[in-house]
Amino acid sequence: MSAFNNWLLTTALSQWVQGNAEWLWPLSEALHFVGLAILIGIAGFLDLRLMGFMKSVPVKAVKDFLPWSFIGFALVAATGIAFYVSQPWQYSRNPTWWFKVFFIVLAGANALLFETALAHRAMTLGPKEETTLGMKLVGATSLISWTMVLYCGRMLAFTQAD
Amino acid sequence: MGFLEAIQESSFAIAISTSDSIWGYAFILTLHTVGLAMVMGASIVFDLRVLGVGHQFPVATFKKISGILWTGFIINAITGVVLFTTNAVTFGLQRTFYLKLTFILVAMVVGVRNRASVFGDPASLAGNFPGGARTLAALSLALWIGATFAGRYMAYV
Repeated sequence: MSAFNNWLLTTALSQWVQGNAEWLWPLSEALHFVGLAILIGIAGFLDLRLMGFMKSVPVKAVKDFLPWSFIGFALVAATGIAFYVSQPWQYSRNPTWWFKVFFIVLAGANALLFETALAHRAMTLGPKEETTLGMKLVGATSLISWTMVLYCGRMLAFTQAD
Repeated sequence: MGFLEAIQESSFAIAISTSDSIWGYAFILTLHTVGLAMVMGASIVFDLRVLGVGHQFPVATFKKISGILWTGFIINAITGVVLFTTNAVTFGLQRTFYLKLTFILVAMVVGVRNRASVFGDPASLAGNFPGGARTLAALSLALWIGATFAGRYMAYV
């Protein structure tokens, strides 16, 4: 970790973010928040249907929105990387940041599980059709994970190591 | 002592800002972000639908789930007032803060009006939105992005 962080600080990207932090940091934070609203808004929408809400709607009709959540994901990922490369120690020394990473990985693995094992079947579910227990669990896991990512992300400013 | 100072020096504001409990200032700020995801997320999905995304999604369903939008809005109105009290002197004199409030107010008015006209129009409910509805949906997206930017920049200006 130590060698990796120190190497990161020498990269051109890190140097560029550090050198332009005055305008780039606030801009990245604003974009990070816009991205989280897009990502959680759209992913959470599908999660609710998987959990059994909005039952009158075919699952596929909700999932059609999902590609747009990638705009949100791209925004949070790009700005998140900018934050980390310019201040790696500030994050890697902060336990809350590791909780955030844990929930990002959990949300990602959960999404992968849905796509590979459940999505095909879910797409055939029409109006009034109940989702399976597995789909409900995946939906709830996703919603809880993303909420925890948000919670840890907001909290990590308050749990910084000195 | 001025009005803004009186707010910020009130025992309520001081209790919030000096609380070292995890449920104090940091938690309220986090709730404000959860509310943001709810009100803005719900708005974004509706606006995208009007702009042509997910055309198989029945428009009337948005009426049934508008509770998410309003819950987020109420969470943020309450947490927003609390957060304001802890920094009343700074925020009360800050142009960016009033810009944020304006963005939110206009976004809510645009959103409420657009939803009402869409829900009351059979063609829109069938997915054929008039140009005006699409313009308002695009405007709503821009206004929410503006509100988020202004909110974040309040910490920097």
